[in-house]
Amino acid sequence: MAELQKILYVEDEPDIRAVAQLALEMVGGFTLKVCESGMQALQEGEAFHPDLVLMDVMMPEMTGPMTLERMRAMPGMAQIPVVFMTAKVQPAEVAQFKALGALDVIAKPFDPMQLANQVRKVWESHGG
Amino acid sequence: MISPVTPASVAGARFWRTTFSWRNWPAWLALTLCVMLTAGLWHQMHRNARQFAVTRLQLIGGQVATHIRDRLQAHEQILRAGAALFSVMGEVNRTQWRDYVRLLALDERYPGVQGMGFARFVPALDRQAFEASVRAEGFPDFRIRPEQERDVYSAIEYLEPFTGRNLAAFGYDMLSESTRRSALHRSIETGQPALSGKVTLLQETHGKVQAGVLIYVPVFRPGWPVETVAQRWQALKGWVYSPFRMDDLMTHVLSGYFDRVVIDIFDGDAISPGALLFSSNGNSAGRLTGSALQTLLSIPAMGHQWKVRVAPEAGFFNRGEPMAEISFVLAGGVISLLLFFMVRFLRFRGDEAEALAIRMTHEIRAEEQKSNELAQRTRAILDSVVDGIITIDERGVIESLNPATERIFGWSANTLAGQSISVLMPAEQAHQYDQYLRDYFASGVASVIGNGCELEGIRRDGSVFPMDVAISEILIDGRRHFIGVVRDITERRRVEKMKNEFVSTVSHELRTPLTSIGGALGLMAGGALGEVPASIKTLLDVALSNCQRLTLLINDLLDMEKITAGKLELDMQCHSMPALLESAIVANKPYADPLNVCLVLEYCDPVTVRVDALRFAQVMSNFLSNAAKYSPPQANIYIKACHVGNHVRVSVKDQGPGIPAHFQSRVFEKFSQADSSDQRQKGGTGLGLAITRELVERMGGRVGFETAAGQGTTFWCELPVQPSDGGLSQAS
Repeated sequence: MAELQKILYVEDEPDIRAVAQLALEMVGGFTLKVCESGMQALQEGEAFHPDLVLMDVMMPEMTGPMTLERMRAMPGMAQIPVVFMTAKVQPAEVAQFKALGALDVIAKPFDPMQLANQVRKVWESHGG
Repeated sequence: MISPVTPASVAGARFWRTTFSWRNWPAWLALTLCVMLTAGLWHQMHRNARQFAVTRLQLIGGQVATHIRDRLQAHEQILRAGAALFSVMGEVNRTQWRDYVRLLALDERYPGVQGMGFARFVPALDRQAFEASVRAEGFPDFRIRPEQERDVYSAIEYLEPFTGRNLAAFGYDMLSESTRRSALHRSIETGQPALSGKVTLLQETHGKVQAGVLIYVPVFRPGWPVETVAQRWQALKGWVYSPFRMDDLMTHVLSGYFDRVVIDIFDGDAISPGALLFSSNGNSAGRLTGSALQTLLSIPAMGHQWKVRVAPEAGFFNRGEPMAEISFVLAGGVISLLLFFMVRFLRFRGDEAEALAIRMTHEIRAEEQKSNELAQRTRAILDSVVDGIITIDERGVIESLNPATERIFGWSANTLAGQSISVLMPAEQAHQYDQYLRDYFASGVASVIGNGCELEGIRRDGSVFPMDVAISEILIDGRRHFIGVVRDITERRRVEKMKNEFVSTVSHELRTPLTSIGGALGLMAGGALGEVPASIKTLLDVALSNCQRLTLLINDLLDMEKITAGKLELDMQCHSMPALLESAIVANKPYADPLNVCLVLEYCDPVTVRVDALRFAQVMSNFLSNAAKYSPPQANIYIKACHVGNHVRVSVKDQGPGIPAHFQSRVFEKFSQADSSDQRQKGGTGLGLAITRELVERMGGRVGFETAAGQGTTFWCELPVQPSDGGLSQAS
């Protein structure tokens, strides 16, 4: 199984961005590309060639699901797995996100010390 | 003072008024006729009775007269026999007379006769010789009394029995007394026995004086001519005679009648005290005025005449007769009265029926008016009520509805009457409602009836709205009707939704900054940015733990909101209870350790339950954290799961102070925590148990607790056990 190295992180809230970036880079040792919006992710994400996309759901202008849809339409990004980060983690909601094409859902608020592990677990449980 | 007028007295007064009014003449006529008839019949009855009495009296009188006559005849005959003795014997001496009379045994055969004697006829010339001869028989003082010189004398020579009273008569000249003399003369004139009139006998020497009579039979010298009066006087020897004390005689003759009749015997024709010879009842003076009922008979006897008067005595009348008369009169009176009132009744029946009808009509009208007013008032209430009130019958057909219903649904009452209630509900709900009704009729168990519930209604314009419906059942004339009170709760729902959304929004908004805070603190405290000095770390830990507290609070609030909005989703899967408890203990150890309490798993039955694992963990955390919070230091918390019947009961027991009695009813309510005067800060949101209860109930179980002051508390939840072949794995 390929190792998880590069993560494209999409989050509109700067504070959360800062925390998550620290959690993933410092604690998890991942290589991160951070985008502020879905639009930015679509524009700059492909060039980064991420292994995984970690994306907030509740974003202005283009929500996580909308962004995902667009991604799937882009050949260069269609195959990259996407994990949502959201407070809406009721089973049906999770199922809904998965049905849209997401790999999994990580709950907010997240424990910054555990975030990297969670992401790794998701990566591993889905065969990389 | 005015006397109170009661309906009874008014009716009574009217009763008498009509009774005595001129319109009541038939009744009076009937009464008069009946009374007259009664009087007439009674009179007749009386007369008949009288007649009968008279006849009976006459009969008795006849018998009495016959008796008297027979007796007199008998005595006449006896005296004739005595005279015949003298005639045959020529002369009869004293001894012979004595024997003769004795042999007659008069006392036995004919009691009542005073005696039987012989009075010799003594012409003046023969007086001396006669007196001498009698003296010579042994009566030295014998002389004819009274002693005056007369032309002729008679003298009582023999008188048997020669004792007692009879001694007084010895030698008495009966010719010297006028009544006796006339009888004596009569006997010679007729040549027949003669009965004297009323005399007082010489024998009345003592005792009550009785009236007396004598019967004389002349004795002639045998062979002498006795055709003419003069010849008879020539041939006369004397008289055989008997004196009679009337009371004595008649008592013997007539005593058998005295209980029935009063018998008075008068001498001659006249009814006068002077002529009274005998009275059976002694009150002769009083009776001589003559009573109403009497019979008079004449008894001619021996040239004399007696008058006998027979009147009824107490025993004469049958006891029954006067009673019968009285009864008859009474009966007649009663019948008359009955007839009177019956005629009166018939006469006025019409009037009274009419009066009754009028009265009843008034009463009915008054009642009607009252109930009309009541109906109007009720109608006014119904019309003004804000909620809709609908009445349906057993089949769900609308019978009536109030204006509010029209307003709520947009239909007019006329259109809706007779429709099925399901026109007011959206299709699938109408079907459900029918099912409710069917179930209710079948089983008698009301799920909707008697309870309020929130359904959906559909307005005329097709819009669906939420409504609160309370249904009750009534019985009228044995048929069931249902009454529904409908309230349009669109507004209420909207407000609730707003409130919930507000809570949700706020909570979400609160979460975002918390994520940042918690994240930042977590990184720092976790040393991701490098070694942190101990003092800073302490403060970082403080900040971080409080951040977590806030997060928990927000989670609880959001959970509660989800539950209230019905948006809570459970992922129900089969899990093994031991595994669930195991992970719960592990998860909560970090909470228990700092508080110095130990989580102890006593035992766990190896059962399978169908739960949402995350939520079950939440429940266990709630129980365990509460138990830890309220346990004293170094206490234990005992966890066990017991399989009972088709449930498993998971219980968490602490050794804390127990739940105070005043709080026990509010344990599972939102935002409630026991009012504690404990030292330790309790923390917590106050929502934990409320959420726990909702979660457990949503998973098909129940929660509860047992507590005793000073002995700790046991919280438990029961969940249905899955059969060991495992259940379905669909989310509920």
